[in-house]
Order: sequence, then structure tokens, then C-alpha cells
Amino acid sequence: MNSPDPPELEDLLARCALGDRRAFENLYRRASPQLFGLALRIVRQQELASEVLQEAFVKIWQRAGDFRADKARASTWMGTIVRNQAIDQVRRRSANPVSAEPVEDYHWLADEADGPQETVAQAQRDQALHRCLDELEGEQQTAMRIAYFEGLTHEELAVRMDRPLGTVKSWLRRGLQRLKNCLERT
Amino acid sequence: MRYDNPELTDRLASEYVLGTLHGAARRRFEGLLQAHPRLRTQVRDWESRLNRWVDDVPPVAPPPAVWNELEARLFADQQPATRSMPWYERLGLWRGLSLASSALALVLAVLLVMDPGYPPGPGYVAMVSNRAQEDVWVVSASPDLEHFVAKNLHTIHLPAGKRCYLWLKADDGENYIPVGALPENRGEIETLEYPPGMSPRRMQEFMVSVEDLSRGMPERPGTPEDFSVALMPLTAI
Repeated sequence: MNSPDPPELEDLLARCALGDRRAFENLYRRASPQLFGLALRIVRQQELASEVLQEAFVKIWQRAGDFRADKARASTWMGTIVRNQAIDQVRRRSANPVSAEPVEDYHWLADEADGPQETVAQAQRDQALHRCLDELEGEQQTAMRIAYFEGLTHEELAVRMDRPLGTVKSWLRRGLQRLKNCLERT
Repeated sequence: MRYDNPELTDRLASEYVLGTLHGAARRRFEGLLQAHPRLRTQVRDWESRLNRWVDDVPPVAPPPAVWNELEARLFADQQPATRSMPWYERLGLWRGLSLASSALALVLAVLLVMDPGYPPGPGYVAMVSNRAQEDVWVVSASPDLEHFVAKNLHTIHLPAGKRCYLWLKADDGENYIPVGALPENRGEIETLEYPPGMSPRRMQEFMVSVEDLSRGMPERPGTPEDFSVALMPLTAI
């Protein structure tokens, strides 16, 4: 189970579901930096990330009634919307892709910042995640991160990593299973 | 693909959340999500595992133009957001209700036993769930029980001519008096009112029935009820 966010985010979403604009503005002020960082991480261009953030917040406003506090953290729910929007954006321009930058250049992003206002329990879970991710082999973990943040197909991932398709599929399948097993143990 | 095999569907869910499930397979999976609660649970579990990566990403302040454009796009035709909040928006118990309704036994209606001398309060709110324990409406009532606001949270499909109808138990404790037809599409909001002086003097119980309104306004609930109701007094926030 997930620990809840600070209650404000969830309460703000509940108010948004009832059309409360002030709550929406408050929600935007509080959540947009983390979500903009996520959009930027995926689309890698400020202008495109701004478009993604705007579209995502339109959806958050329109779908706030779908959020269930007993099923997900507010940040996870909103993060999923932003990520899907960003990946759609990447796919739309995949016919003319931005030059792929080496994955290694982005590794620092994963470890630099603490999540905002984390609870102790959340921090412990994040440690568990990182510990479990550390158990994965280097290329296995890299493949999972690229797939997650860029929405690539198995085939695109194989090209990006210059590895056979079967190898990449196997990395992901085993990596996901190992991650699940490890998190269930902790 | 056999969608009744939990191991296979868990693998599909993991690929869906990771993002490697593409094209027709992704669309087919999204279609199946609507119909299979277990698939939704598996997707949610994978989201809770993988989306922790989101928290690792450093926050970056977005350009101010994003909010300005967002506000212009969503609220261009409205007044500035400085009004005081009306009674029916004071739903601080939303989250608690959602949790509470998930745990509801499947009964026709849950009666909130209240002191007959219950003083006027800040109002009432009820969460109405279907047989699948999905929240379908949130209904709030003003303290004088003359104004109701019902919001649909989950689209329902009824045969032609049928509507879901909201009732309130009368002061005699036996009969129900009609409040009005409830919205059927997700996100729709319906405002319902009693003429002054016609409403019950105290809140006892909501009920929802399915009615054939082509035969005119029903005098009492007809079709067996399909919904359970959790009713709570609305506290001021």
C-alpha cells in the first residue's frame, strides 16, 4: 500500500472534482514543478514540456472526479497523466525525432533530488525501490528506464541500445519480475 | 492471448505501465481494462511500483505562461475565482467517504440513525455505489433539505426510457418522496430542489431506484433498487 500524500493534494483534487477553481490553482502551484520536471525529463525541450504540462492539467481538471484516494497517491495519479501525455508527444514527433542523447547523460537526474515533502515511510519505500533497482544488472536497469521515460517499443529500444531484440525483451521481462519480487520481499 | 491467466495479464500490465505495449495491443488492453477489475488492479500495482521513478525527477518551475494559458483556456468565460464556496462544495469528507463507501455491505440503503431532534447543521452528503461497489454519484443536500446537487462519477447505461431516481424518506419514516432524476454520464451535475416547505423536516435516508419515467412521475419507488447509499452529515471545513 502507498502512504497518502500530504492531505492537501488529495483534498485539492476532490475540490477540483466539484469545480473549485481556487483549489485547481492551488493544486497547480503545488504540483506543477514536479510534474514539469517529469515532462521535461521525457520530451527534453522546454517548449514541448510546457505544452505537455498544459494539456495534462486540462485533463487533471476534467478528470479529477476519477481520482480515488484509497487507490493511488495523488502525485502518482497526476504523474501518470503527465507521463502519458509526454509519451504521446514524443510518439507524435517520432517521424522527425530529436537526436537521441546518450542515456548516461541523464543518469544524474535519477539520484540528484529528493522528492518534495516525502514522508519517512515514503522515503523508506523509495530506498527499497532503489535497492531493488540496484539489484538489477546495469543494462537491464538502463533498458527499463529508457522504456519508462521515453515510451519506446521493444524494437526501438533494441536499436537504441544496439542489442538483439530478444536480449532486450528478456532484460525487460526479467527486470520487471525481479523488481516485483524484490519489492514484495521488502 | 488468454486474458483469464493472471500471470499473463500481470506481464501485460507490467508492459503497459512500462510503456512497451504499443499499437493495437495497447488499445486492446485498454479496452479490456474497462471490463476486468483484476486487470485494473494489476495495472495499479505496477503503477505504484514503477511510478516511484517520477519522484526521482528533479522539480523544475514551469514558465508562468503555462498557468496563464491554462487559466484562459479553462476559465475564460468565468468570473475570477474569488467567490466564497457554496454549501454544496464543502466536501471535506470526500476522501473519507470514498474509503467508507468501498467498505459498504451490499444493502438496499444504509440508514443513518439520527436523533429526531437533530439541530440544523451544515448539510449532508451521500455517496451512492452500484452492485460492483463503484461510486456512481455523490449527492449533497442543504441543511434545510430543499436543495440537492448530484454529480455522476461513473457513467451508467439504462434501457431506453428508464432513469435513476433519487428519493428521500418522508417524516413518517415509511414512505419516500421523490427528489428527482440523477445524471447518467460521468461528470454531469444536476441540481434538484424541493419547493419551499415541501421537503422533509429531517434527513433520514436516501434511496435510488430505476424508474420508467415514460409513464409519468412515480409516486413511490418501483423497480428494485440497485444501489447502496452511505449518508453522512457534512461537516463544515
